[in-house]
Amino acid sequence: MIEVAKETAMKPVVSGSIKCAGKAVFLRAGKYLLGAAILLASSNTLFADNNGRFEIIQADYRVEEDMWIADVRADLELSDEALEALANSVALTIQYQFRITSNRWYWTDKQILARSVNIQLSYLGLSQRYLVHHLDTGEQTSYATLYSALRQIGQLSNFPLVATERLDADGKEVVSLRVALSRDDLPGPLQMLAFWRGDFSLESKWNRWIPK
Amino acid sequence: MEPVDTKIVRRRFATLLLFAALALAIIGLVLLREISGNSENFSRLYQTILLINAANAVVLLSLIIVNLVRLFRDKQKDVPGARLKARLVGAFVLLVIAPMAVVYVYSIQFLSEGIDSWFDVKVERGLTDALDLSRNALDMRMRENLDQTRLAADSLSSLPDMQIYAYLPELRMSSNARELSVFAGGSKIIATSSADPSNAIPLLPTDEILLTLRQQNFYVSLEPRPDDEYFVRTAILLPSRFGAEPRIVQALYPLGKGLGPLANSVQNTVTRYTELAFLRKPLKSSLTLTLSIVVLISLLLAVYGAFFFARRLSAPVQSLVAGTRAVARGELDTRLPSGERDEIGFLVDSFNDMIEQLSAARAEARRSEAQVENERASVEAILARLSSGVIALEKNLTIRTSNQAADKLLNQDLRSQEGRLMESVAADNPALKKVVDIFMDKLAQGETDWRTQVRLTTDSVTRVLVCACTVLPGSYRSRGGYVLVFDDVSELLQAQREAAWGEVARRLAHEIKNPLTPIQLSAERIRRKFLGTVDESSSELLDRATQTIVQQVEAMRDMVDAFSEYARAPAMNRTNFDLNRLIRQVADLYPAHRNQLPIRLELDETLPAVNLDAVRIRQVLHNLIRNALEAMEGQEDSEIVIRSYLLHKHKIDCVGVSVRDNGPGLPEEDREKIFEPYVTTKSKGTGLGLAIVKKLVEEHGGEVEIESELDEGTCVTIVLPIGKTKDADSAVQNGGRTRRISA
Repeated sequence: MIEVAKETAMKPVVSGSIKCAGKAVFLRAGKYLLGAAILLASSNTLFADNNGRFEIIQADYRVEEDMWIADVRADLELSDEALEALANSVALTIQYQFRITSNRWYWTDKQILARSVNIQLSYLGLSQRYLVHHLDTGEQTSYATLYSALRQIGQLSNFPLVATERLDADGKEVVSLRVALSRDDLPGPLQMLAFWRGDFSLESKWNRWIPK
Repeated sequence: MEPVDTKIVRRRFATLLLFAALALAIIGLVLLREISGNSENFSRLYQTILLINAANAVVLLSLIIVNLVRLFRDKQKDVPGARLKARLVGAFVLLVIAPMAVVYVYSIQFLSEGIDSWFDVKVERGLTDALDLSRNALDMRMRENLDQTRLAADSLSSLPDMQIYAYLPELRMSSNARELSVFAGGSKIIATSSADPSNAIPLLPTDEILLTLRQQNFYVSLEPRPDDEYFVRTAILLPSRFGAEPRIVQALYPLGKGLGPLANSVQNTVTRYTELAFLRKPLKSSLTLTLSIVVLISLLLAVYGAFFFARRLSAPVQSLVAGTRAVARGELDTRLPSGERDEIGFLVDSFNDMIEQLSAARAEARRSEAQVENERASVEAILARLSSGVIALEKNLTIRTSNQAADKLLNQDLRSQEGRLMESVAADNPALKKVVDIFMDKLAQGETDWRTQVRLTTDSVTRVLVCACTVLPGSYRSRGGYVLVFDDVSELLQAQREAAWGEVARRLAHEIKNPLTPIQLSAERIRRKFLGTVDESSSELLDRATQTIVQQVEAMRDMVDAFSEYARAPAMNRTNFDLNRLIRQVADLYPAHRNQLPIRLELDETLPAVNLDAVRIRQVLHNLIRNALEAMEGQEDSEIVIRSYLLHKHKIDCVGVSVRDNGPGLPEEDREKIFEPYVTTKSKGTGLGLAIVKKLVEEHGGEVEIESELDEGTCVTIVLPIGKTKDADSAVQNGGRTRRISA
């Protein structure tokens, strides 16, 4: 029971002031036209205390049995809105997005491969634990703290990216990687809200690596 | 190639734009509705839809602004139909906005209340209670499982690893665990026993377990399984023995068929409800946003539709107003485009028919007006060139019109007096008053068609006018009236008299001259034959008698010669000569004698040479001087003054010669007739002198005037055109003939 109490204390809490500020701004934005609302909504992120942060800390690529294997370490921090949604049983899907493109001087880059790793993070009220569900493999683990869960999600190990034969390693191919909160997998009403507000726009910068 | 009407093109483009906006709006709204209920397509379509709707809104807003600006401008410029269009737009917009606002507000309220009604406080509390109950129940279960694990750990704590392996299955079964494992350190498996034979590898302790065990020697948690079941994981840290790594006893307990599905059900329900409760606000916002977009687009469409239909409705009226204004300006070639087959179209067709008829009537009126104007111009031209004076009077006796001849005959500018009463105009003009009096008398007697002869004296000139009056035809428009016509018959009468006197003279000359010679011859024969044969007294008587007969016959012959000269009109022989010189020559023939002073000459030495018949002018001068001398016969200090001067009369260069005497003068009644033959106031003379003067002067195109005062004297003035050159000569002759003034 001691653990349970501690974990309860770890539940994300959204401060009332942030909510009020967001609402006021949103109401003010509502007075203007659609275009003005878009601009204001995009600037709404300036007023939030915790906007969240996704960042690729390290990405290593190695060849193992004719496959390029990726080991990624990411620092994931959810925004207040995302934390509130998670606390209210909304499952969040975090995606590792891999793009392999070939550089073309005469045209836009050609996409050779696009792969993603989808990991769902949810909170179980009964057990008061965070469930990390690898949607691609079906593997799932639960954690007493969000920190542990995010830490686990932030470590992608031994991910078979692409067969070595598909990459020419002539310096033209570029492997791009980012980790992002998938807004497509949010519930419908939240998607529309997320479109106008920046709280659910959590994504890291593209991490690029040229295979050699 | 027909010219393209830019208005039609613009209208078609606007209609196309409207339909495109309408289609876009429908597509956008349908898609919006589609994604609102289907989150899978959201991110794929939402931006596109938003773009479509935003573009749609921008297009509609631009169209509305353009229309508003145009409407405002039209209203400012007072363009026909602008006010009607503004009213229609206002009415349409009001009709659209009011119900739409009501629907919108109620929809938002209904939406909000509808969504809120899904959530009940009691349900929420029940779920929370159920969750707490479940947690309590599970806590007890977890505590029991932890105790069981502790017991197992106690029994294993003193056993070596080999015995643990053998004893473990029995211990697992006795504790009802699904899996019981013993680990050395964190991940080294000492022994494991599982109820599932296929599961050879036990579930390794996680970092979280190891961390917890380091802190408090035990760990317990309820963990979900992939198959939506829950199991209780417990772990006990055994104390280290003989310097070996510490052992961890981990046991997994299923919740069982009774508690497991219940826990699962509670979890799923709570999750679903919590999620729904959380999504309540976003759901409201998204639905409100969707509804707002729908309402906004619908509103913009409706407002633009209001402009569109207001334009369509007001266009024929606008066209009619513009057409009416154009017609009012006199543009009768205005035709309105035929509208649709409705009442407005019928009105437009009727307007076109009316304008057609109006145009035809106006053309006809113009033709008539032109015709009337032509006729009027003709009449005016005729009247202007008419020698007869004409005065048209209204029925109320005001002057309607008159001609130049009337002005001249009546010596009154009647044309500037149009619109005035004839009587008031005639007040200052005795000649005209005489005519008006006659006219009024006749009118009083009920005579409207009459003709009479009037003798008028204007500016010392006496004219005989034949005055005729008749009634002008009247109709319901013209008021009728009278027309007075004056003909100057003075010259005609004079000519008639002269012709009569000429005939008399000719007959007298013929009839009297013939017997004169035999009478004279007979008297001379009697004298010759009997003068010597009779006694002295008889001889003297005979001589005296025959002398008297001969003298009287001579005198009679002279008189007959004078008559014949008056009747005869020899050809004119014009020559250039000095008139002053001629006057001097003639005056020299009349030297002063007895009580008579010499003729005094006051001649203008700058007088140019004249082109006249010198013989006739000489005779004129003789007649005038003789006439003056005879008038002053026996008078003391009688004097004759002959004066010559240059003057410009009737736009012609003329010379004037006046012969003035200081005789007894003429009585007024004789002045008018003094130029007629056989009219004389003297005891001697034939009475033909001045008649001949007048005749000879008029033959030169000149005028004779006489001024006389009793006991003061008489002055006869002749005015002759110079007629110096050949051209001037003809001009003089023409002018003379047309401007002859009868004395």
